[in-house]
Amino acid sequence: MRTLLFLHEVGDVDGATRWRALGAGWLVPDLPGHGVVPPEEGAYYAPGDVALVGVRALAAAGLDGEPPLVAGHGWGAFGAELLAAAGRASALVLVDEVVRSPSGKPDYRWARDQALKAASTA
Amino acid sequence: MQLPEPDRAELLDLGRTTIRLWHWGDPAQPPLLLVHGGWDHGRMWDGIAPRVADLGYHAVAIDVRGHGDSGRLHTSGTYWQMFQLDLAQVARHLSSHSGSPPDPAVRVIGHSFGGGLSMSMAAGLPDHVDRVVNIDGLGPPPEMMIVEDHAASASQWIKDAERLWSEPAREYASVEEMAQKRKAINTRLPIEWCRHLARHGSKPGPGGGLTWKSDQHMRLGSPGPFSDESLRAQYARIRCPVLVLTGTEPDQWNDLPVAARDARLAAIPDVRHHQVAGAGHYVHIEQPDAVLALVAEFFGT
Repeated sequence: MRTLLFLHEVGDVDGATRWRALGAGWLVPDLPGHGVVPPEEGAYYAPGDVALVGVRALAAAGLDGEPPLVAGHGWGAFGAELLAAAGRASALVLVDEVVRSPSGKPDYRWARDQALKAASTA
Repeated sequence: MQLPEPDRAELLDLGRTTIRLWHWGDPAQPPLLLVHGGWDHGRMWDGIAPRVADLGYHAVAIDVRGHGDSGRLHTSGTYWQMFQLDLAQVARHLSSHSGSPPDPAVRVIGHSFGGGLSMSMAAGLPDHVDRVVNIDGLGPPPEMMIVEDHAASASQWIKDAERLWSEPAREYASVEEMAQKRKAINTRLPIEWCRHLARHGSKPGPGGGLTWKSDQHMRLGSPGPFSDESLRAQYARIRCPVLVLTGTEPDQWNDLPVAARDARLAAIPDVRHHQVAGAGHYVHIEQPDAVLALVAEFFGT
């Protein structure tokens, strides 16, 4: 069976648990500051952290061979996009990704634009 | 080379990270922040900081996060906004007893990467910055900022991260070996200064040798928006006066072409620029007297 990596939403305290219950066999790591994992040092949530949590979870599970299916919810979807942009996903599922950028933070729009550009050239 | 020790060392708790501060002078005087360049640390100001303090300032050299004794970087690399927030919190800490309500604006002197951070702080947090002295920190050459292949850069970023996780930090046998390594890179830096930077920039490693204190994750530039155009747009937002100091001599890390440099200078609304004779990239270490005189004049002290 093909591996499915799911990156949950930031701030969703039950996120990993919920998605694990939904998909038997899905690999759903706790993001930093969620579940049993302490936050990254520095009280700053960075989009890149989410992608690398996925990379580490795959390696720890011995599933870092064939690119997995990658899905992400909200902020987790940005991490999923970065993995897809890097050629580390065989398919991408984005669940309610934050694209409206209500606060005008450039990271969000930028991450999406870059992922789409990369996906179109990959 | 005899350099005085800082008057006071502080480890400031900013919540989930700690920042090392090296204090010079009277804390009742107006605060002035000294921000070092990438891979350096706060002790690189030991030569000029006490003299800046003597101008009538509470001069405070920071170890930027990921450098010196301060907290570590994210495992996914460097985040420009995170450094800016750290600096803003430090500025607020330093000015917390400056009146009621406290005025968080500080004078900032930054070198190289620290000069870039100072400019970003002035642009993004204008209430926190009174004046900026930017020492050879106008950013990399424009062509180095162009990303041709976003997929390749994302892929390389993850590969670099994986390599960092698996490779232990390089260990050296002695401070002298580290000083010689530094001298081979920064050929214009006097060897006494290389020894000073190595002495204060090293720590015992797990293998019994010495490693650099700098966090290796500085090598991981996380994917983010950064271009010549965005840099000039940021400079255009700076409201406070800016003094830019560059050296006249060719050197490692001062390879910004003149046309690109002038375009960036032209983007800053209130700027003056001095080329300091007989200096390369480390203007304040190579020509401290000239830099001190220019700083004193610019600050009006």
